[in-house]
Amino acid sequence: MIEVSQIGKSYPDGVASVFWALKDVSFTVRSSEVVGLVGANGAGKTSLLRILSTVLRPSAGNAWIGGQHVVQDAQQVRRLIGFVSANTAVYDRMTAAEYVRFFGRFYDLPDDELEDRIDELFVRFRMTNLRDQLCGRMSTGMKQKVSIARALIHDPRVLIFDEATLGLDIMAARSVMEMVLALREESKCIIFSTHIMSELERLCDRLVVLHRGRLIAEGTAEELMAEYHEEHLEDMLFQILAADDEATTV
Amino acid sequence: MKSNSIILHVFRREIIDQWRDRRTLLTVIFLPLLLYPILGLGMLQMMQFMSEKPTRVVVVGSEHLVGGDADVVPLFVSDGWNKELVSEKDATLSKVEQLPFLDNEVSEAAQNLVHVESDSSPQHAEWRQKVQAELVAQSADVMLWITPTANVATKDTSGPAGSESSAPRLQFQLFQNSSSDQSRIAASRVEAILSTWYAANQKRARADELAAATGPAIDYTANDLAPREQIQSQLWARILPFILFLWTLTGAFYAAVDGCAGEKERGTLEALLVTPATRRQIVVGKLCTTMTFSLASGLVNLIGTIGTGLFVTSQLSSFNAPGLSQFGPPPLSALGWLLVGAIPISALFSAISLSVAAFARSSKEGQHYLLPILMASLPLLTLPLLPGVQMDLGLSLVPISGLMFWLRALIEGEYWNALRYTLPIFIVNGWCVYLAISWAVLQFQHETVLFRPVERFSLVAWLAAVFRRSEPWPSISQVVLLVGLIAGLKVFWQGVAPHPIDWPSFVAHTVIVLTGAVAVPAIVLAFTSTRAPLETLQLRRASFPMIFGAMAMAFCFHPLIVAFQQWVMTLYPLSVDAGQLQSVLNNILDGSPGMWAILLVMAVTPAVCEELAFRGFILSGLRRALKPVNAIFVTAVLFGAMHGLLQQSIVASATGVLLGFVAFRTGSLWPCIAYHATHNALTLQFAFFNPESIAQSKLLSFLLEAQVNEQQQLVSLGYAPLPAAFMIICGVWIAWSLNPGSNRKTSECVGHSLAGLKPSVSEASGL
Repeated sequence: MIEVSQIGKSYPDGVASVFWALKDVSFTVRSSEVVGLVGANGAGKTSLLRILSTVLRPSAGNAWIGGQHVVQDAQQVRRLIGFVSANTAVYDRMTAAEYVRFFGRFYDLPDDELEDRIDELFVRFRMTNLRDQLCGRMSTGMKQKVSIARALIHDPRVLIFDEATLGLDIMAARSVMEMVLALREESKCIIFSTHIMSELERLCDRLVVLHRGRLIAEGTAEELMAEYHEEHLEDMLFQILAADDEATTV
Repeated sequence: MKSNSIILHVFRREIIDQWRDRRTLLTVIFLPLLLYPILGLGMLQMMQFMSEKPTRVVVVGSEHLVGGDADVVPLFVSDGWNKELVSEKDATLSKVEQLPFLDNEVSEAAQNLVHVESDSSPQHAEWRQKVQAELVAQSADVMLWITPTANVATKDTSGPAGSESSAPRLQFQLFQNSSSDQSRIAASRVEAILSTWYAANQKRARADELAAATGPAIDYTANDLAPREQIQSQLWARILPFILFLWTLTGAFYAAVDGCAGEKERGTLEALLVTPATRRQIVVGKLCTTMTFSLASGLVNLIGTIGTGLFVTSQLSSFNAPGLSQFGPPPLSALGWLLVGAIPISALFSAISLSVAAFARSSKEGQHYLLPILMASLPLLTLPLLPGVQMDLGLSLVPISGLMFWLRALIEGEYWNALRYTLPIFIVNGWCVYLAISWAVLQFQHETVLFRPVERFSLVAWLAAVFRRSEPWPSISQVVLLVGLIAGLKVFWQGVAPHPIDWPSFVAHTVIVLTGAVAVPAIVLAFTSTRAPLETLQLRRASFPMIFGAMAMAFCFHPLIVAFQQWVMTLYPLSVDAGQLQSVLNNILDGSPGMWAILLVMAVTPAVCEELAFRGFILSGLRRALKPVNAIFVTAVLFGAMHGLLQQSIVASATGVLLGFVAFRTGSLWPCIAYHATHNALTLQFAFFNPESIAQSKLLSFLLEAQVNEQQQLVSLGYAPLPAAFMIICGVWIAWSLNPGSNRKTSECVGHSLAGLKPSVSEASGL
């Protein structure tokens, strides 16, 4: 469903030099699979997810979603994906229903179907009380739930979550997690980046570990823990990153 | 920490923050430094429109001035004003047509206007219309009607200077239309000449000690043909469009900044960019929002202004102060036209604001751009307000100003005038809207619309990057630096250097400007900032057929350029001052040692120097970032902008496009120099032709078509249609054949060069 091949991304650094945030990253995500993207801050996770969501252009390599190229077929890719990021804000001067309806109209959904879908999402994620509330008056967790509803309005086959639970309290984070779990049950292809190990353990079929822009490990949590002789995911990740740092320094 | 230390501490942090904000620095400090010289150059170009335009006076009854007392200084000679009274410039500006008599009906209407006190009766309006129709029929701005009256020894207080006379009195009736700037200017010129004439007669009379006996006794009256409502609407026709423009711009700008920079800042743009909506759809949607706010802002303010105007004028009517009669209530029909005009105006300003707002990283940065936009628009907004500036095809092609003129004409009831220029005005402004939207879309297609990093400005790092010589060809920064250097050095030299008065000083001036301000900066930058200076300057070998081909192309396309030049001169006629400059130049050239020297200084030197800079350095740099066609056009516009006069700039830009084409086809600067020098030489040669020299040569008589006036002076010179068409066809054929394929080595060289200049795939395609 998602195929990433030798992706690289550079940003201008100063007047004449460039900084490579991603280098030669390749992996695939199958349908009905949840892949966790992990790594330290600045590892390149957000750059990678933004490339997949077509808002950033890769400086090298290629990526396809549902067989569509993220640059050449960006319009088609946008119909296939739902994107939620910790940095994506909602329109403060719109109610939750207005906000979700506004985005739903981009996907050519008939009015009655769109309204049914909004109702379904608000009931399913227990958001009916937010329906007519202005987004500007909502808490961070509520806004994030509305944001997820916005990303799901067109029932996308692929979901991209970039630290969707960042900054949320336990209750809100749990609520978001439940939403993702429910989507997992629907056999969606999900790529999920987070720093919270418990979320990875609960959600992900496989992990992709990025460090300093490079892919340094890939596999199921069990495989990776066995390879690094660790019992806990957090310890295993620490090991992987420290080993890579050591190897790079040497 | 002590209180003062804390204040200092906070102050220091804020300063560091602002200093590291490169955009703020640019807009607050560097932009004004750039903006004012650009505004200055813009104002200079506008002076062309502000320069005095000729007016036309019809004189009826001039025979009453001649044949009388021989001691009276004549007011007229056979072909116009007496040259002893008026300067050559004033005589050129105030053209005189003497009519032997007036049609009976018109004469009667004029008589009635003079003798019956002005009122708003239909009868009075009819008389005014008749005289006005006569003015229009004669294509005149004012009419001076001289009639004799009975000999009465009275003290004349109505004349320009007042006199006591027993001589035959003459009545000077001036008919003007004060709702027309041109007519008002014509009237003031006539009044000034009459004053001079009167003073000259007084002086002569005193010298001859015949003061009271021979000095002409005159009555002078100015009659206004404009109805009161028209005068009042004219005042509002200037005020209301200006207010509408100002507020539509302000309204558009704040909405655009909130919709683009504000959305970036609030973090809501990313969700929108992930939807299937195309970037153009998003931009056009935002444009509609911006337009709505712009329209609302403009119209609400207009209603406020008109309401206030109505209230003030109703209050003023109780005062009988002189001059207030011209200030009446705003015509309500104006509101209707302003509603119509507000749509294209808000579309234009919304598109401009949106493209600028998309560039801004934050609302704060966006707000900084309002003032520069306002300052850049102000000259264009004020142009239609200048006295004597009337809408014509040339002015209708000026963005913003054309719309202002159009709206003014509609409010003043000049519907035919507005309709005549509707198409060009809407094409030009529509094109500007399209360009602005395209720029906004381009920005939305680029990821920097969302994720522009915080930029720290370092002048040292920027200069180091400019002179790093890391690339074989110039970067855009280096091109900008060269353009800035050329403009700065030219303005500086022209500011400090004395105007050339003879041939040697002219040669020194020209050579210093061309080498010092144009060629040397280009060569120095090419050698210090690029790894392949000769490639940058396009100094590659070119075969002789290619060079001769370019020369032949210049010759063949010359009729096209001459025709274009004539069209430009019709659109934007040269001012009288510019015409005088031409005569000064002719005097200087008369002192040259010969044609060879003139060609060397005025044809070859500019060709070499300007080509090194423009088709050499600048075109090489622009081709790194732009498509070849765009690079050629931008280079041509920059080349044109470096020429002083507006008319010259437009023609130079057109020639620049052809030169860019030659550079692109041949890949070498030598054919460009050959083309440029040939073109300059032909243009110079054209200036030296006269009817005799054309008549003496069979070839010239066949090629050229000259128009001469009654004095057998050359009025215009162009190519005859048939030879011109043949030459242009040949030119197209030569241009088509002009390619580096005729020279294998050059071809290889150019092929290599072009391959290196191609942008990468990811650069070329937008998101």
